Amino acid sequence: MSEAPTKIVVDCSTGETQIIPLTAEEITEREAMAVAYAAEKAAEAEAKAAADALKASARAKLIAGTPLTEAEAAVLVI
Amino acid sequence: MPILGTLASQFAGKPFTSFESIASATGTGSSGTITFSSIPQTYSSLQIRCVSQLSATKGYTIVKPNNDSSTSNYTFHSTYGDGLTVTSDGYVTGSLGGSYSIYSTGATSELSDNVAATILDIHDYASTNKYKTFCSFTGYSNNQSTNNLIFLISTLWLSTSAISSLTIEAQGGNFTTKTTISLYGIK
Repeated sequence: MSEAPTKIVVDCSTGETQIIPLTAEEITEREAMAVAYAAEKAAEAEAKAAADALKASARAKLIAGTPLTEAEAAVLVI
Repeated sequence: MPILGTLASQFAGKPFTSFESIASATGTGSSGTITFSSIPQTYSSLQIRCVSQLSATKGYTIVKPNNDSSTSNYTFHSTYGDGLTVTSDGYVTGSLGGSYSIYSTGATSELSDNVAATILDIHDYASTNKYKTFCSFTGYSNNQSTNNLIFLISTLWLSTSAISSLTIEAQGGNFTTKTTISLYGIK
């Protein structure tokens, strides 16, 4: 059985530090945020891979002297 | 202007207590959330200075003022470099449930003893008539030519509420014992 997740709470008015188990609601929220974050990162990685592939294709076509698509031209010329 | 032409002389007559430690917390390895509660409302700005590492993989660590997770209250933009390329990024409201102001290394990522360093400024946090801007400088070097990260991040919290607490939350895993997060007040 895994350890129950906790949070550290520092009361700035007293300097007291407490370690408190997360509530079920807090655990659910953390899990939902982790899922959302993973989805964001996956979307970012996918977009970066697509952009990198487009750049590589555009460079290869420039070197070969073949026509570029509009999307390929767009990644090379701002 | 320095009276005597030296840096030290320009502080003459000013108190040396303009920058004060409010509180500090160290990771335990079993908590992914650190909250500073009951923040005094007597400073003009807050600053978080931290070194952070997650028990899982590296990633953003979010900061939530007043424990606000509403995605309609945050916008974000950043510029970051990894040693090879520089990229700009941005999100409008509806995407993020906190301020993505801190980046943390991961114990399971490249260098297991490495920590990321962050300086985060929160200006006019006690104001009740304006939105709050979070500005941070965060990142780490990984002793590799390309797999490093350095960020300049600005987040807008679309709330006029005064900030009385800050919750710092790992996106995955917990804060390792190599993590220290300190909160300062600037008068």
